[in-house]
Amino acid sequence: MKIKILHLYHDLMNLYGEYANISVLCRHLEDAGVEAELDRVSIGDDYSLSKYDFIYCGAGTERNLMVALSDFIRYKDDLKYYADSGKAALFTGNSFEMLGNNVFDREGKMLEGMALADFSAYQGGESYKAFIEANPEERSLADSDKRLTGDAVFTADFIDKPIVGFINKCGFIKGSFTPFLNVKYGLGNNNSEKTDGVRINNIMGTHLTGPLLVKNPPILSYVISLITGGELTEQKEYDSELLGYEVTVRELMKRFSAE
Amino acid sequence: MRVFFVILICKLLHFIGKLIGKGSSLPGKIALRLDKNILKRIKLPEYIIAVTGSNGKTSTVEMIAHILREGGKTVAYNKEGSNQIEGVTTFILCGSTMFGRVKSDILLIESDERFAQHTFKYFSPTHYVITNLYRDQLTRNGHPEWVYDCLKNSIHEGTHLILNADDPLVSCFGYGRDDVTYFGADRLSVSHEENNSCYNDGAFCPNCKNRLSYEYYHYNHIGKYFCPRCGLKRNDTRYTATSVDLDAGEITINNDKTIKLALKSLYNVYNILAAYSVCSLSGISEDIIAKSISNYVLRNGRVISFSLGERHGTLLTSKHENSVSYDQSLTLAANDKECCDVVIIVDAVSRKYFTSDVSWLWDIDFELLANESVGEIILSGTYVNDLATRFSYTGIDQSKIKAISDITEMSEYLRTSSDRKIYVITCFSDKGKFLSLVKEEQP
Repeated sequence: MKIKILHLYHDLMNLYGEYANISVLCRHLEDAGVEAELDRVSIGDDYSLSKYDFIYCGAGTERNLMVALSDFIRYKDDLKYYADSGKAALFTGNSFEMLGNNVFDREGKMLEGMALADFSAYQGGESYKAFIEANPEERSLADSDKRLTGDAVFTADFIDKPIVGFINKCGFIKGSFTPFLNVKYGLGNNNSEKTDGVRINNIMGTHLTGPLLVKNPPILSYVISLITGGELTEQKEYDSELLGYEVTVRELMKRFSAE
Repeated sequence: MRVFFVILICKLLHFIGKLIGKGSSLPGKIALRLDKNILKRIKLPEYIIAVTGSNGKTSTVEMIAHILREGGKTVAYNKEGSNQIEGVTTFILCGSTMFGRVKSDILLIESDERFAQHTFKYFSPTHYVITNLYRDQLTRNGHPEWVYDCLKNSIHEGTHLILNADDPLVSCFGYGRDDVTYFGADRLSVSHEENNSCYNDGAFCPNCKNRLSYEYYHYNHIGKYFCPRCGLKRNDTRYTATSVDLDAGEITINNDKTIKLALKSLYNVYNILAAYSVCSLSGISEDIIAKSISNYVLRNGRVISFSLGERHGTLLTSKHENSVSYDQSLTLAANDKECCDVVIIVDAVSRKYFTSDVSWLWDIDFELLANESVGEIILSGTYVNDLATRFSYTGIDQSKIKAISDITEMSEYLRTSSDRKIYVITCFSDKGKFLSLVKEEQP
């Protein structure tokens, strides 16, 4: 079996260590005898989305997200087609904000999104002020305009183990859509909902940043089963990856349950 | 409330705090509660030097204080390391007369980069040094651009900026300003045309987001760059490291003054350049600066020599959640001509707050240790598995790597595992756990 992977905006959307998601995925696919072919693309590059079996995009700064979206918008129809085909993709950190109707930046400017799901993203700053002014009753969605960072423990309907990671964002998203994960501890899509991210068919978006596929062997194995259509039953395991995950779960549960 | 009473209370609380071993931010916090404008009412000296940036603040401030004193000035600075507004208030009030006049010729302030906007609401520095903006403690700081925006709010009219020209994001603070002095390094023997680190924060222009071009890199995104679209470029420097010889431990500034390095890293060269620049601008002669900083050994305990049984080693205090800091320490260890073992400890990510995030390990270029002079690599601490996973994705021979979670057990192993020199790379939060098991030595 051969799998083609597309890493979007690898040099622009990399808050910290996002590339490791691709490293761990390729290693585990190859361990299972699957040939993984990786293309890394960025601003101005032309490619055909439909050629790929998996798409990944990592978190970036607020400004970089706007630059990425301005470029990615020409693939709007292609991405819709990709989503309808049922193939898998993962957008981590703020990159999944591109999948909604629009993104409002910190200066208050609006960019049109990929419109796969019905929501808007507000990066804070002027867009936060404008939103609160227009919707005073929704003030609770974000009670202040500051950096929102923190460890997180999430759960998923399709994985029986906790999901751990870190949130590093500002602003909030608001709309009507199917979330990806449930918040057990930590920050969600906004203050009033205990959900994180968005799911459109097999396109997954989560606010978790960094190398979350390294930190969460259960999600890695779920993603691999989506990519390979469940054909891989046996996946090689690495002690340090599994133990690292267990230690983080233990440390976070100890911390959060004491709060 | 009268200035007199606020100062009195602050001094008393600081005195009591010292007796019972408490930190230095509480007295300032209470002083600010008594009078939030207290800093506006203090008569400040002619020179107020502030230093901020991601890395090198404490070392740079210590060097500046040393040079200024050698130059005959009296200096007050926050050496207790409380660099947010409360700590700064404590040290200013404690360094004032009861009538609110700062007693020293020069006030020198190390300021936290996100909180500088609060501190400099009440007064502005006359000279403001910004060393660099790196990925640093992102679990609190967000990212360098976020810090840039916070820091921008702390810069006011009438302040002379002293900026690192080789850091594109830092150089943006000087955009459209006249009262700016830049420092930096010319092309060096260690400079390279490709960015060799795990990521490149200089890939895109911080001003217009076009792809940035580099003539060369010194390390990470520090180098000579220009933007073909908006014209952002590395500015000409008034204070320049014109040659750097790390093997000989010697640098030359402006083709003229020679300085010997006690710590042979490029990182240290930038701290020296920053200190050199601001001291020269403050009226200290360059001869005195060069003489007083030559071979200067920092007293802030970042580099510690130790012995463990028959073995000798050096602990390089590095910052967790800061890949540039780690890269510099790894370079230092890997470049040692002597064969060495390298120990890396990640036990608590921070001493100030809790987080379990180890994403930053993936930004560190551990590949630097793929060097014949490096014998064994020993990993330790709570996050030993994450370290082992990270190393399993490097090209380093895996048989060289040993993971021992428990720090005591690791140090027992280390005692007799070889007779090579030891380098220990870890953070403030974890170094005490190791140092309590070894004997500290004079370097």
